[in-house]
Amino acid sequence: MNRTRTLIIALVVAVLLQASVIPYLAIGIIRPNVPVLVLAFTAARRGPYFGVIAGFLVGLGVDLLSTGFLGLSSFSFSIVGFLIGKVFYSDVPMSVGRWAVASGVATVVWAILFMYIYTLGTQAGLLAVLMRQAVPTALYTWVIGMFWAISPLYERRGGVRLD
Amino acid sequence: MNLLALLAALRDWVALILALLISLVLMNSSSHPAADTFRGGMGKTLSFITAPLTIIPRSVELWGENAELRAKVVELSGEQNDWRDAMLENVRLRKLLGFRDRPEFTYLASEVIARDPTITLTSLLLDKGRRDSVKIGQAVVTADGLAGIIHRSDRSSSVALLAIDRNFAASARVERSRVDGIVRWAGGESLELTEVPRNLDVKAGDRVVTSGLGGVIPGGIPVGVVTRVKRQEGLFLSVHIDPYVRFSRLEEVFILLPRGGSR
Repeated sequence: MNRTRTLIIALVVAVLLQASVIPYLAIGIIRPNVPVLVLAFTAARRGPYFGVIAGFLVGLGVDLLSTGFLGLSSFSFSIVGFLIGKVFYSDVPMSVGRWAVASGVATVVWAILFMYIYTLGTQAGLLAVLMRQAVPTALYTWVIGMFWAISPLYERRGGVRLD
Repeated sequence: MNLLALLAALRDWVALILALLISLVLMNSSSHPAADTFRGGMGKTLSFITAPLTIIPRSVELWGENAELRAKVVELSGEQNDWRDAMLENVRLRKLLGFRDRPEFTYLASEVIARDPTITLTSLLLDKGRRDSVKIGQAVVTADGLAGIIHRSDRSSSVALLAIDRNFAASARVERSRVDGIVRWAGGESLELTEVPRNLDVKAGDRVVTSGLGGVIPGGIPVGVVTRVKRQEGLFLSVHIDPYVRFSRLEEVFILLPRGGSR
């Protein structure tokens, strides 16, 4: 119960930060996405079932604060939560190496999936959008995720810094 | 009992399918008025909670911006004198030719209180709403040019849809050759002028301004500069535009309100 409460708080804080402070870290229109990192860690530590639920809820929160398609973030985050939970779930604390791969997969899958659906029916070229927006966003998010992995907080939340 | 056991064994997949189904239903109900109202309420709550979090980064940005703006005020004061003569002459000539007066607008300054949290930067939550006469469809501009339009307006706040949203479209014109087209998002922070017949005169470096033809956004607002013109197969040119407005850095914007009542 305590872990679930911590998880909910972490997800809510991530969404709030995303809409307030994170835009100040933007390089052009490229901004890191904190909710996807929290989701990836949650799914890898607690499995696909919690990954899907967390993904859906955090996605819904993001959707409600945006003007885009309601349901687009919950769709993409649900898939990311499921995928990371299925592939990277483990009982043992997560090493930095495994986190690097898990967060990398999560950010890339999420960014590509989101932008693919977002550009459907528009005149914007998908490849150009992926190269200009999705991939740089995924990379920037992953770098922020790696900074977190080398912070003391990472160990307290169930990660280990050494294999 | 067997079915329950099966569902429990497949709970990951069941949860995923349910989540995706609900998301798809939500996507289809995005434009429902109830969803809009709920989102408006969420936006206001968010701005109330996050306002203290943004004090430090905002102060740092405003400090730098203040110095830039002081320099710009001096530069613009000089330019204003030159423009004033030209404007008076323009008014006299328009009267002589019997041209209809252009609709006049007032600039309502508005602060950005939250941004779109998704990967795309497509909207801003503004601190002015219906009680300040803000209505859906009004143009949102900065000192550099067109930023977007008002997409939703509540009592004390409103949402601006930026020009880099997939649903944004505005009639625009190439200033030099008076060629009309429609400005749309082209991916990233770039725009495209569409519906331009391929035999018309458009060159890289041309300025693009709003044409006012749609009846929503007034004419003459700078949009951007043409960076590339591609003569592709088909009837139309592909005209890429680099917008003047840097959408990621918007702190304050102006909403164009029609002078003397609603349009």
